[in-house]
Amino acid sequence: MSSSDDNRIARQAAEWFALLLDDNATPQDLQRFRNWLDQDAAHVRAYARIEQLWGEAGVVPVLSHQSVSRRKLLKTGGAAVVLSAAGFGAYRMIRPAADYSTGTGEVASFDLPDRSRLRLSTATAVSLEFNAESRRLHLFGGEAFFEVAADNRPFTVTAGKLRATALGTAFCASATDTQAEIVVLEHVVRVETGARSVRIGAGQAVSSVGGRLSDIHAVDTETRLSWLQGRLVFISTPLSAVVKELEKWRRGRIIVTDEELGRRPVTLIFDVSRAEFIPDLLRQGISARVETWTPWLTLIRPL
Amino acid sequence: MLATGMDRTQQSDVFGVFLTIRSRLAGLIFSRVRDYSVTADLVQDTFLRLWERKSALRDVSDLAGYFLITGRNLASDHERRSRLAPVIADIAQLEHIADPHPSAEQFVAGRQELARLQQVIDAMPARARQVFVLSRIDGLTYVEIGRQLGISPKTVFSHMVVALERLQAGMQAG
Repeated sequence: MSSSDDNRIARQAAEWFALLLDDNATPQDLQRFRNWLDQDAAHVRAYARIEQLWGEAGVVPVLSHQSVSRRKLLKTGGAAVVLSAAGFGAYRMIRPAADYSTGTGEVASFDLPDRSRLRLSTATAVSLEFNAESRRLHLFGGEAFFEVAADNRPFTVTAGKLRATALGTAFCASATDTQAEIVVLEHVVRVETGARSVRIGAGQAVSSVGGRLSDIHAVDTETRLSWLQGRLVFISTPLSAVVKELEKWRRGRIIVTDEELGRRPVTLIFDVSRAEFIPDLLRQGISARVETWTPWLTLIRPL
Repeated sequence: MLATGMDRTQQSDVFGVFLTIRSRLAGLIFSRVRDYSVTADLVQDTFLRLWERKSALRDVSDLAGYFLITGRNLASDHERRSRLAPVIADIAQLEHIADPHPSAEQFVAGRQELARLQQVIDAMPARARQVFVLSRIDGLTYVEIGRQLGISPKTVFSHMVVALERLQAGMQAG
């Protein structure tokens, strides 16, 4: 197709879009519009493109206020790692042995002897072993965020089969029975499992499932670590995954009865200090039937 | 040296403002679409759009205003698409436009694309730009725009066509 054809089609698409924008289109206009669309697939593409650009332009003015101070945090030179480890059952067993722990729905932060800072998410247990040569921590289960103070001794966290060594850094670790994950907020962390060793940087994560190390992947750390802000943020996350995460924060089961519903991506935000209202928030936030049968059982069903 | 905690960032602004205006936003959207389920979807879409751009929103003083504008724009897009749906619903490539529950993802442009979009809009002829912004951002009709700019609705339409042509040309791949 020649560029003059392209220009002509672009102009026609613009005319149609501008005409239909203003609610004064007659049934005859709509019929002519339809005829025009049917004439050529290029017409459909051109119209769809304008529709897309129009949608994007709906929030464009924010860009004129662009901030140069984007993610100041990342320039401060600290680093963060997330490690997630064992399941709830195991956690209850080991909790008495842990130096630092939280119950369901709790978050807490602690200053460690080396002036590093430890922040625990819900149902998390961490033990500590510091000596003259090393700083070792073990995450039994849950999720912990470490802001590591500079020190000559290495700072190492084990979670499941992963061992994360902060290289002057802040990071987060999480662990369940079957999976452990390290998320790095700043700087670099060395993660080892078995004989493998990888270095991951800010905004990256790596996990191990059944002892196998995943590829290094990018994460939106602000969303992933939103619990540090006292909230849980899910962006276009399958409902079943959201529910799985929410169950960590609240006693009682939440069951999605329908697989297709479970796969539906949802965007939701919860205040972790109000975990008891999770069913109410779900009710407001998703197009589904949310039924609280007892304080211990909530069912989510298709409408 | 201790790392700075995430709590020093401004992330909370977008979320905090969203919470404070959430019911107003829902009311505004509902007054247009008259459907609770669509309203719930559009409230989430509105949040998602601003959340995806939160780093660009750090210095914005009137976040609440952006939420309300964006929500209203999404509601009016929804209305317009509902009007067109009977005409285009069976065209595969336009299905997502006719869909009464559009997912926000289809509009989530990358930051660079948005920056480019802003440049293209800035570079439009002055009248075309005014018309485009009054329509897209302020949600005015051609009659209202014409009154404000002292031109006829038909002239407003012509400027809009120019604006949309520039938009397509400026945003072509490359």
